[in-house]
Amino acid sequence: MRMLPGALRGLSLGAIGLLLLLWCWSRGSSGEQAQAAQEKKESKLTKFYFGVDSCRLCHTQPQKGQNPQLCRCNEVALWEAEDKHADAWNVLLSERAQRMGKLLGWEEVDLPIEDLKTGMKETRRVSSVATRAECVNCHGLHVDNPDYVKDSTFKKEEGVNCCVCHGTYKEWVSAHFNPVFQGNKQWRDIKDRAAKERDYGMKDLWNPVKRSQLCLSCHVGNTEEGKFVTHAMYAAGHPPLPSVEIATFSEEMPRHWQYPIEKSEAVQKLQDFDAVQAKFERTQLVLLGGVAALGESLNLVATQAERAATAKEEDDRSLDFALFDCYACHHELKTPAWRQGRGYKGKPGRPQLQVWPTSLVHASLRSLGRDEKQLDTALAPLFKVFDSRPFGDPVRAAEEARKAKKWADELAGELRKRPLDQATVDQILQILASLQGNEYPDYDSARQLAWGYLMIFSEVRGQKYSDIKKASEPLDKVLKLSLPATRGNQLEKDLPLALEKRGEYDPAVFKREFRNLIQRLGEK
Amino acid sequence: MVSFVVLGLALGLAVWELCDRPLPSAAADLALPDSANLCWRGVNSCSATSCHGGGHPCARGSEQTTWSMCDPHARAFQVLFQERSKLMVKQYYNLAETQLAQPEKVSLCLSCHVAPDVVRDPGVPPLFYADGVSCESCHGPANRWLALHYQPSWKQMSPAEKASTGFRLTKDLVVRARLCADCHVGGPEIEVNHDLIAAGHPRLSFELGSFQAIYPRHWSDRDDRARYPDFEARSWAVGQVASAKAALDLLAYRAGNEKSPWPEFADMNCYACHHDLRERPWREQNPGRRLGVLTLNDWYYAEVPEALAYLGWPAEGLADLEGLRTEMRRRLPDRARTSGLAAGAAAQLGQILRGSGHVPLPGPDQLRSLLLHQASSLRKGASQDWDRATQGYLKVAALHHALKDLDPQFQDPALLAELCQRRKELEFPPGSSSPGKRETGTALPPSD
Repeated sequence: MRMLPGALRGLSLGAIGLLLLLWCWSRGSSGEQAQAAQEKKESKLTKFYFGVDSCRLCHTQPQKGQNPQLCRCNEVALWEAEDKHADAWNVLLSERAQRMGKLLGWEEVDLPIEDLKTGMKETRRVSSVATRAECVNCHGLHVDNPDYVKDSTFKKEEGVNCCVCHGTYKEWVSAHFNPVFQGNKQWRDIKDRAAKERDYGMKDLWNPVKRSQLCLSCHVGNTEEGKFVTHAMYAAGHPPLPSVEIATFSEEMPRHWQYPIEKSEAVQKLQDFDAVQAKFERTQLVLLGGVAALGESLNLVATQAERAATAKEEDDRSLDFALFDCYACHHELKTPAWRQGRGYKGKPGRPQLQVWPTSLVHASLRSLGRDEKQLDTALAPLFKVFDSRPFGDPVRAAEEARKAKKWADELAGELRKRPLDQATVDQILQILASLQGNEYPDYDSARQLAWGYLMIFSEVRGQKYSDIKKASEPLDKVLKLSLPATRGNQLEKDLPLALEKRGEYDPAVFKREFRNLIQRLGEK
Repeated sequence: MVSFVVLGLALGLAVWELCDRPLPSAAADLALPDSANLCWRGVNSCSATSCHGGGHPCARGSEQTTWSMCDPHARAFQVLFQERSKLMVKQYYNLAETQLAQPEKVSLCLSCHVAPDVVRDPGVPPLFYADGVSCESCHGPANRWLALHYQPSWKQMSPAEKASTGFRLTKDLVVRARLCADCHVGGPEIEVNHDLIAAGHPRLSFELGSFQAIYPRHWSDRDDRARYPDFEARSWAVGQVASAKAALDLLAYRAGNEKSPWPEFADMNCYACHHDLRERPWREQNPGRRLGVLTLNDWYYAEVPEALAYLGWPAEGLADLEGLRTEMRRRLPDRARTSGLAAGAAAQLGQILRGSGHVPLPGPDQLRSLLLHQASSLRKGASQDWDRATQGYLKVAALHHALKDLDPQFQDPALLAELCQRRKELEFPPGSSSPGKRETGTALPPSD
């Protein structure tokens, strides 16, 4: 180098430096590419969030005169007009949500917001309730990587939109409307919906267990997906999460899909319609949704307990109160008290887990010819964890919750394999009517039983669900069975009444009205 | 002339006696000096017509008659035979059937429904259980003082000498307060915990002033007031400190005992949990308050600083109490830390109680200005939780009664009306053991 003249030396050094720089960049870039490739290889799919505009063209109005279409093709119109999920993010701007943010001590942010009706955009100073993952994971889609929304039609204001449920991946979106892809193969030729999910990212929502688990991931919670309403959030003003009967909630959404039995013959032919199973699909959903609710609740307990067991902060080393039965604590003290009259399985005054996820499982067990006491046996070790110490030891809670979840999953598998027939569904109706295993149902359990009964009754007796609802008005006065469905924020009108019903609830009154309802419906 | 001088001297002496005399001291401790030599004699040993069974309720010489006819303590054992008591024991011990429950044989029940001596030395012969909370439950095992206490020499004995016989100096307010607190607040092995409350036992929420006010006394009210001219206020203050000490001792025991459930919900604010989910604006106010956490039950601690001030002690020395409040707000309070803090605060209060006998008597003017000052804090406390609000009310009521005793001419109709109104507001709805609808409101608090 020293032999070279000065200018040439300088140039050479610069060239070497540039080469070094390029080498480092290429290492990094190829490192990122390798990582992305590795991720893609592991997931095989490209994570991507898309907005309703991507679905609007095809799914707003049925196209006439063409080959029978497998979808209703009015899903967007229905969802935008009626479905509360479209308001899920907007409620984060409400007075209640903003106050929650203040009480929780969360920061404020300057947020660009679009009015989806008028198209107007403005920037407002709002509580980070509207942006934090803790809230947006359930109330919409939290964008934690800008690549997910690059050049996308995604709008956060759309709340729980199409891709939240149907799959946040690029591959299925382009494939499912492309009439010919992969050579002459059509999307509809892939009969295996599990394969569609695995290989293209479109969630298999035909599977009632998977569909239930999707709903329950928000409506109960899911730690891995960052969806958990903590007790502090409730104390700050989050409405209590109600029990969820999947078939009823779907009906009230209202659902933008059809059950196979509702489709035209031409479509049924294309979709390998099973007339026998289709006859009792909603009944099957009530049972499977009930077991899925148990499984997802147990999974939530297990995952939260695992976190607590290894938490660094002392305050995080015990379970959040939100995992427990709200009303075990949150009831006024009255004399006489129905809880004391009912007695306690274990030690009095020890909070246990929520009861409602078990309320529909007894009927499932009995319909399989199994003893409903198997549920108590499966949950007994977990019960003991919380009986022996208030709020339990997280390590033991995690172990026992995992085992119980496995039991629930096995039960769901058994239910799925078992074909339903008239005799079995008649038996299920009788089991629900007798309240076996639910001698002192709490408020949420009572709602599950009532909803489950009404849904199954309407299916197996061939009566419209809307007509059945009229018959259940007296019971509605006790339980507030009607859900605040449809768009428009009715929460502030609805919530005081809902909380009043919870506070006044008495199992003796429920049992009387439930009995009366069954008689009005002409059953025994 | 001489008679006037003598009268004047007598009056002067009386005034000096009333205003400057040191009040009876809390020299005696509850711990019996030599329990091995003590034993019970039973109610029948007190009930001779010429002794305490005179047959004229509420008269001197008829203390046992008054007790047996009017005092609920006399029925404390009988209630154990009620269905409700059986159900409690069945649920507490998780028995298969109610008929297997025998509360009348359970030492946890007997330790309060007869006497703490059931579980402590010298013990109580089962023969005497049927008397309920009887003479010796409070006055001490009688074998060594029974034959002494009616002798002329008894009045010449010092408090310490009397205590050495096993006699409990119940005329002394501090001794009385600690005796009552032993059952009505609880102590090691003598406790009503949350398991028992959930099984059906009423919550314990003791306050000496108001409990004494409604109690059918078998002793002279005038003697109490002669001994303590500010009796109502002093009962309140001493009762607050004694109850707080007992509660802290119990908390220290529960936290330090691995066999006790933990966290112990009976040490937490009942109504922080026991409210339905109808919205209560005051609960959602005060941003910065830690949300959704359990908090220390403030029934026994809310008015301790004011009570200490009345007894002439500064409240700054109670750092352990603040530390305890912080610790109990954790999701799972640390047992060792809690026990240490509670024991430390209890020890401080114990010292204060022992020295509280020399607190000077306030004059009517002093008491009046204290009352008016406390009454203004009564108005401010309208949105406080029930325990704090009720203790605040009881404090002002006690001061009001004390001022009426010292100055019978005192009248404040507005304050009296306010006290009556506050009492109505604090009462639970019929059939309820919690504030219930009293606290609900439909309007959302402003989001300021």
